[in-house]
Amino acid sequence: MIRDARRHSPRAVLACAALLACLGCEGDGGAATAPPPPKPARPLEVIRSAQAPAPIGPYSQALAYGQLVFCSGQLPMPADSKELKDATIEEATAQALENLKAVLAAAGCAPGDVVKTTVFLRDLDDFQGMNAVYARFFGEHKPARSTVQAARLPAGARVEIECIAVRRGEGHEP
Amino acid sequence: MEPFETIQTEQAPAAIGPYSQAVVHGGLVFCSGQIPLIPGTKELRNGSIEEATEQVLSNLKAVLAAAGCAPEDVLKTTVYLQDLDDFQGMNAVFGKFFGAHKPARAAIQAAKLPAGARVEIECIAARRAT
Repeated sequence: MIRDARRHSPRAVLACAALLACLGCEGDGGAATAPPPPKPARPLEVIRSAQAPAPIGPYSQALAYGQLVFCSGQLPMPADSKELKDATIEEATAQALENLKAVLAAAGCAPGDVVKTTVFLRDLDDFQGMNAVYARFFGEHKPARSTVQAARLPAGARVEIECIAVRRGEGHEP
Repeated sequence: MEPFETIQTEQAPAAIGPYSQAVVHGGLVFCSGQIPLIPGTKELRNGSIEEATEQVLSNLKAVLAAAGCAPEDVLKTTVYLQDLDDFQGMNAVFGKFFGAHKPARAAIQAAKLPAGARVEIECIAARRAT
């Protein structure tokens, strides 16, 4: 029995223990209903979009779990090039947000579904320029946000933006 | 209201301030940034970016394990580097650690990290056991 348990993942052992606890309750005179079958583990969904740049390291563009979509930081890199569109903060921000939008779309989300963003700037003097493009992009919708100046960003980018969004359609209930 | 479930494990360094190693809510595990501290000591394994990244990820793994999670349950990570020239060295160890699983990620160079660490990594994971 112990040897069997060792072959299982800690989760399976936990599930087993929970089941035994349930059975124990019944033995004490509880209702004779069968315990509900264990819920299958919900999958993590890897999101891929050819309309956004491929990752430049061992990470994914986004992962979705239940209603939540966790998007990797996007740089001002067009999907079809390795060159940054980085001449001004305005075009850099527009490109980073365009990339995020493509990743969000692949996850079934729109900019209006974003709940939180983090903006990393190479130079906080770009704050107003970034804000102007950012506000135009999100329109009436205003997600929560943190902004910091980073000492340096990958590929020497002027800006990197990450976000968390919510899939509100059917089939993604919490 | 029920207090949040917080995670505490001696297999990872104790918090060096008023925070928890991780907080769990709604099936999600929010893990604090880990630096390359060796658990139970005040020593930093900071000699190379490779060993620093390894120690950080080993600390994160211990916190995840205490929350009932494994590395393949990680959804999102944030990597703070002291020097972005360490990007490839960090990537190599990061890639080996997560294997086929590739979480979402943002990486930046920070102006300075706690305790003079070369790298700090935080993550959000899914606790899928119901």
